[in-house]
Amino acid sequence: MNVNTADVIIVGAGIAGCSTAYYLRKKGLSCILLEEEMIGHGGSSRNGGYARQSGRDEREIGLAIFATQHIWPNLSEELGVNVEYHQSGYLVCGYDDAHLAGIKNRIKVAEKYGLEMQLKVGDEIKEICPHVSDHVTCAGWTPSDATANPLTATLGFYKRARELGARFITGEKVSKIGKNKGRARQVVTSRGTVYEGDKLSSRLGTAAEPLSIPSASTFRYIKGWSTSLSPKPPRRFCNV
Amino acid sequence: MSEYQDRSADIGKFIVQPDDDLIICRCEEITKGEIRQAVHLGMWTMTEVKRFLRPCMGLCQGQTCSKHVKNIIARELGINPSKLVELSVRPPVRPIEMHIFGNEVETK
Repeated sequence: MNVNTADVIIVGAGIAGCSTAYYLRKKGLSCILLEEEMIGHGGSSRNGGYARQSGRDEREIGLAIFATQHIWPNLSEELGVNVEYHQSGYLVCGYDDAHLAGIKNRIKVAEKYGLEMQLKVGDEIKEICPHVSDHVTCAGWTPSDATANPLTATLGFYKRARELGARFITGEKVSKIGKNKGRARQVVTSRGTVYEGDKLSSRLGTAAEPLSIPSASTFRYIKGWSTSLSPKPPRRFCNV
Repeated sequence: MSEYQDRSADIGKFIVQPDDDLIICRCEEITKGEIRQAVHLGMWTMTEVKRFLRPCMGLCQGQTCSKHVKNIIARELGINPSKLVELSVRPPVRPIEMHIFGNEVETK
């Protein structure tokens, strides 16, 4: 068997790629993870670390609630790395009618999914955060939202996945997706190496745009759950 | 694009050394042993070690320890230190007290 073959080839070693590798290895599937730069180079190390459920695209909320209840609380113990998870609550502030309408809309969406989110006005906001600016007139408060350290979380997933036998290759730039028997199975890198898997998984996040995909119609486009969903879907592919 | 590295390549086992208790990063109190251990856990670049353990993230921003950290990683990987990419330097290069920022006057 070729050494560059695995059940799943994952492209991108951010938190999405590393966690995909970790959960695949837990299920006993082999995987090779290709990364152009280093582990957690892109969005995974350039974010505020909010593990929040509110204010997301509706398609993400269910996943975010699941993660908050079942993944994040025990993640430090599971990975053996302190991911600095604190369920400190999340306060989204506004100061005009447009913001108020936006917050009310968020609360409506949150209620639909059984997520507790309250509207706070005036002094109620200062009770939660005494240092908030006087300009703030309305706020949405989600007590179960949290923060975590994105750097250690990403590297923690990487560390555990590597311990479990996932193969990580950094400095491999994916230049092309190739087909075998009519299905996307191959990943060709700029060094000319071909990696072949039964499935391909794109975890490119913000770096998805420049990757040229031979024929868009052969892929079912999905949106990565680790990044915020935008109304205009980014170019991302997956046939998992 | 960074250099090709197969992170599953064998770099040997972690062997305890007598000076593993030596503090390398004084600001964040990270020892030589901890840095060496991190390399064996897969942190093969300076940035990954920094993000994993926080050396070079304290008050001196790596001015004291970044060279030592680099040498320890390189020795553990068995490569030349010049192969390792330096950490990004982010201003202010020297720490500035908050009251200096606080006195900032807005000009139009």
